[in-house]
Amino acid sequence: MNSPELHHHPADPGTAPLSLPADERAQRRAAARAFRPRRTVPAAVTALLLAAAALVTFVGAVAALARGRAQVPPLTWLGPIGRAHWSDPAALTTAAVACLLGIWLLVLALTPGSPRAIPIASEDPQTVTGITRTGLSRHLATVAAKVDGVSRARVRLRRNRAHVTAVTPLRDASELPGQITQAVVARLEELRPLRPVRVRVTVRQRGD
Amino acid sequence: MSHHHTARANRIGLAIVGLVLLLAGAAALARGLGLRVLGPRHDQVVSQQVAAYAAGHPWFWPALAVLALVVELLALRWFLLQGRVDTIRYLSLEPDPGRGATHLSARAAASALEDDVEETMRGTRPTRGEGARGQRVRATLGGAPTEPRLSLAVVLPDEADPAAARQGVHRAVTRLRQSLETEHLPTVVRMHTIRTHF
Repeated sequence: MNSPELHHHPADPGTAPLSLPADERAQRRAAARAFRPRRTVPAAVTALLLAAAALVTFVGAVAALARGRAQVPPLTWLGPIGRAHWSDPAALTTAAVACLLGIWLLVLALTPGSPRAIPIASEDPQTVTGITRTGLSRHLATVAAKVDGVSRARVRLRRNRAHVTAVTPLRDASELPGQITQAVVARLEELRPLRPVRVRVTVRQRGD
Repeated sequence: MSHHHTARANRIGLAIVGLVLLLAGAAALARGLGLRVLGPRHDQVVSQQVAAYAAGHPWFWPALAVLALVVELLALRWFLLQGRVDTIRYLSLEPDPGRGATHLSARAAASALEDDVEETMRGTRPTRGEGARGQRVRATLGGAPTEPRLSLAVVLPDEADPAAARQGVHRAVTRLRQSLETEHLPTVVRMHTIRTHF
């Protein structure tokens, strides 16, 4: 069904000049700040688990304090944890899981994370503009699909590369990769992403 | 509470919890695998020494309870920070404080801007009406009443040109700045597209 694949690797289209103007660098910094992930979900989950652990500790401490003096619900399920030995497989597993979890949380805290939007140039210095990754892929796919001879197109954006996969019913599609590249690069040049996006096009011929 | 504040609090909180987990886990693992410095590996996790220490010191359980309570409150505060949105209720943009303060509803200003952006973008679109489908603009004013910050979420149909939308947004924001008689209004615009054809 998908017979030959035509690849096209343009040298380096859509790349900004090497010397960046100072305001563009400032825009980049502002965009990185504005679109840096806030880690809301891991923070919320960690906070809730921490609150739960603190609650259990609090109840346990109060229970130990009031032992013999008042009726308190005993935390019997905590018993086996106290009786476990350091060398038990369960204890070792728990320790290893805690280690990995700790490393993961540290990675979340210390790495910037993939930005919530791809920054594009703004018309004024007070504004930071971005477009979501899926938003840009979807839009570039419609741009590629509008090229004559393309029946369907899909775009995958990874880091600073856009990979366009187009499907054509044409028998002779030798010019298609170039045309698609041109259309997508032209649109990207209009959008002016603050970090240049490189375009790669793959055309699949589909004999109907 | 600004988003930057929340972001920083989240990263600091995650780093602290992560570090504690890592250190405690590593210590427990080392002891369980036979690092003698930390104690015999076949000991109970709550050994008789630990139990005797807790029983012998009357302050142990109250101190643990207070510590747990403090951690509990901090954790809940941290959790509630996540749901908070950076919004202000009014704008107070009188440049000269001696002349009194003019309060303006932030929501009203934001929805006026939303309408303006939508109208501007519809004007630049080649097909009127048809193209407006799936297009949404949401404006939020945050920061402080005297130093507001604008954030705009724009949803476009996937065939619409984001460059044109950016220009429309810029024009509308400029008009908002003019009508608020302020030059300073930092803005973050986040665009997204949705599929409108199949």
